[in-house]
Amino acid sequence: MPDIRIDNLTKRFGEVTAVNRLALDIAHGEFVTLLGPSGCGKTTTLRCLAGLEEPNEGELWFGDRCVFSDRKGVFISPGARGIGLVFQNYALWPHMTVFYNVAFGLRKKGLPKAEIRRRVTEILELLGLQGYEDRYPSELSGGQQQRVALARMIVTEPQILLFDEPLSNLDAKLRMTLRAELKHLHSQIGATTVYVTHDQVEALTLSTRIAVMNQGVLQQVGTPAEVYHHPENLFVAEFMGNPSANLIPATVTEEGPPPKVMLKPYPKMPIALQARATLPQGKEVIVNVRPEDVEIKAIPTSEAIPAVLTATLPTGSECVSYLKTKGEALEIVTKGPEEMHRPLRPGQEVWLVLKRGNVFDEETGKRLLSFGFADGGTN
Amino acid sequence: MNSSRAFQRLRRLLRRPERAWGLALIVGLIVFVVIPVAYMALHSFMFDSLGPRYVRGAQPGDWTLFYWTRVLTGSLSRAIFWEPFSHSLIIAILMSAIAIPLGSLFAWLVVRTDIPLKGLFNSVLIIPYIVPSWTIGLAWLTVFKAERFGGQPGLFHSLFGVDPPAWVGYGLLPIVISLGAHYVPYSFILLRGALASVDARLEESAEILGAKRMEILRKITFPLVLPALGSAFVLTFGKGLGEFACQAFLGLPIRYYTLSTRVYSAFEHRQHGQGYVLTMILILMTTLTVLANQKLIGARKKFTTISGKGARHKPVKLGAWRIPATGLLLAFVLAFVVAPIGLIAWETFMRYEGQYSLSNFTLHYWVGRGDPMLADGQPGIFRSSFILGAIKNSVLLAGATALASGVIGILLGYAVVRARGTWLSRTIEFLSFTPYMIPGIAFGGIYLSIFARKWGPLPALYGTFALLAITCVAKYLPYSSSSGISAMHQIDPTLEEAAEIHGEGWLGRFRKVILPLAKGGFLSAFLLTFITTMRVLDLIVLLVTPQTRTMTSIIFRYQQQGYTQHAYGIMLLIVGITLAGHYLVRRLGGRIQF
Repeated sequence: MPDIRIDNLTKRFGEVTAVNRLALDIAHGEFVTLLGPSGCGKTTTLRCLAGLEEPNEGELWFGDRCVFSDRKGVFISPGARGIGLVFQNYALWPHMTVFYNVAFGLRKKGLPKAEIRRRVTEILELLGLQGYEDRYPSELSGGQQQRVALARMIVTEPQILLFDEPLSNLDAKLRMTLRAELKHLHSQIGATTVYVTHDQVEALTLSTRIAVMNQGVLQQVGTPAEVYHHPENLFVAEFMGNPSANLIPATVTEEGPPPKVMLKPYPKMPIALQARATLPQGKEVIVNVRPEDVEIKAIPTSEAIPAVLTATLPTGSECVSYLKTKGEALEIVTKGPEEMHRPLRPGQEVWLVLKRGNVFDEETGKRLLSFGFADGGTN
Repeated sequence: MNSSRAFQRLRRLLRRPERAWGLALIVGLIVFVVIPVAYMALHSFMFDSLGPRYVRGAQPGDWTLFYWTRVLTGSLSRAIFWEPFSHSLIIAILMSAIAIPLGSLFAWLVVRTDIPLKGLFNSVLIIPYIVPSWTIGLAWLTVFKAERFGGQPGLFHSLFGVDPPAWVGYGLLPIVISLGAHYVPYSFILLRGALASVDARLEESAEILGAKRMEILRKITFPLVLPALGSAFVLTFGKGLGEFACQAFLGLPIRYYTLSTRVYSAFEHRQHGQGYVLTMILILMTTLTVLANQKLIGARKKFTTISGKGARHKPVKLGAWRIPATGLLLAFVLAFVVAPIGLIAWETFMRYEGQYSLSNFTLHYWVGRGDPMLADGQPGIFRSSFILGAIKNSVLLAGATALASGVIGILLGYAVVRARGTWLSRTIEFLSFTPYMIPGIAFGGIYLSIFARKWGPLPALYGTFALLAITCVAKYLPYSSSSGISAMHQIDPTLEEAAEIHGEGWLGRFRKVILPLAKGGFLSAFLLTFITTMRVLDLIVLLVTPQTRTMTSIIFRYQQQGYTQHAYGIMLLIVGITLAGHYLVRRLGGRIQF
């Protein structure tokens, strides 16, 4: 039995449908990230799970307990759901010290004083906050506030942990550290976790599974690798990855296997895609290749597209290059270890090889096949 | 399906009780704001109880245009309406002409130049607006009053042996000067804010392009603060139209009527129909000014420039002008802050009015036991049970009003902020703002006529303390709601949700999260309403009875009866209380209300 079952969840705000018939099962101990651009409905979904919003339709189950159902008229209040929630702004009560912030839930449960003190102290120690009990939130750094929020959430030992973009107010370095801490914490506690973010790196690094959402509709659910390498539709393909994946319009010239396509920016020579599947002849498709899957060659090779380098952006460990294909100019972005790009100069002519990627139906935006992967592109 | 929808709705209402009390607030606002105004508008077209005396065969309650034609076109319309109307307009225009240039000049001097004593001026220049509007007017009378209009000679007479001309002592000139000075702080505060928010880089850019200082002032600074200036003008103008007390103290002795004193005398003489018509016209005019101001605020928003942490302005060097400018500010402070309060205080220590000598000094009017030769044997302020009763009433009224306003403000703010974007929120916000457009004297008049009678289960409230409190609370709704709303805006909804996650019900959330966080705002709103109520006259002058007398109402009465020292003594107490209250508010970080 899944730990969380979201069944046909719909939430409307007036005319706007924030979440549209969302269905998702989450197993015990999983760390699922709701990922998507702002306004995609991910936070609304989380707030529905927490009970802070009441959905219009659908059902929510925590284990064998129904916490919301429009048909049965069930709505369990947030306090009775056994959840913990960390808000984006932490929502620490500014008029209470760290101790009282963390102790709030325990006091609410009516635990004896000594027990409360013991558990709060224990949790603060776990999060490296010993000695800060009597500080007020305003006297803490952003990272410390974040830890207090974590402590306040887990001290009551909720079965389900909910996070609403908890790291987005922190600077990049701190974010990295806390990501590691969160992952460690999750493996220690093992509570089922739902985590909302718009930051794909966060989603990829933390999650066991990622649920990508757009405009209230679930686009794809899968492991980080699945979502990253085998996006199910063009939205996911474009959304995942930074810089964005290259989208090259093409026409299928041979069914295969391996199928061949004619790339529109370079219609001189069909290119074979390393896949065991077939594509219908004459179909208009979009070939999607991640920047790191485009190889730059200084000399022409077979099935390589000629292009001109326009700019290189080295970051130290790697280098992003912008290129324009010859003929019908299309911008192509590549990414790779810096050394590879170093000898290249803007204006220089190079040849591009598409190592692996996905092919989408231009009309429906759905993925037709993957190519160039070790598993032969059946996925 | 349907019943479960209804059930869902009910449950939502219980989880979010702000909606429930939002509805309750709307009902309250309708009862205390909408219905009174509608009642008055309707009754301006009906014969009042005195109707039969004017028109043969008229029955009270019959539909008629009698009052409208009497006020606007009848043979008495000149005296009843047109002359007071023109007086009100002239007063409003002239006092704005004093208040706005002076206020803006002072603001510029204090914010932008190297003038000395900035801290002092910043806090002292707003005093004329903190004390009652009639403080300067009463002080004026101690200097320029004439024996002819009742009472004793003033300082002018005792210095020069003759009475000053009547137009110096009463009517247009003193009203314009004392109200003008009273509202100087108003544009001072508005312009001070506007000038400080102009990004220095905008001016520096002009400087780099070679503009001279005057040119920058004229071409950059002035246009940028123009909307604020417009706001200051419109608001001052509107306040001038509706002001009552100063116009009554300085106008009524020589029968110099304005619209607001006409409203007062109409209700005072039970000519309700006529009072309604005059009130409607007065409200219409002040409403127009408020609408004009909202247009200007719209314009001001357009002028808001994007600026980060704006560079600091380097102060303009006044050079040779530094001394005259400082002198001007000091003179203003001396003439309109120090002198009025000093003169009022002095007055209370004079055995016989107008004799400015040490031998005339007495504490009789403060602690005396009563002397048949002085003030008809009235005992001193601290020995008169009548006055002590009024002080008690005033403090009780101010306390009750401030407490109720504070609580309602918090509830209102909560309902408005949490329901942001819904019709409920918009309706509450709009309705609670309406009393702002109704001048105090008109508001009092409306409440007088409505609550003089019984309404179903509601008993006739006239003559009760409750009526005074209700009137004040209703009239101050715009202030209480805006302070409540801004207090609630400071409290992020997630702070409450975090408590909800831990199973805290709304009462607990209110007690443990909202109230502790809103405390500071609540306290300063409480104090501000307290001092506002302490000094209020126009709103309650029509509603008080001897039992419910307040400090301000007996000043009004004593001034007419010639118990000057008593009146001024009580006045001094009010000035002291308002200044102390304001000092506390400043300490709490609160701000003066408009």
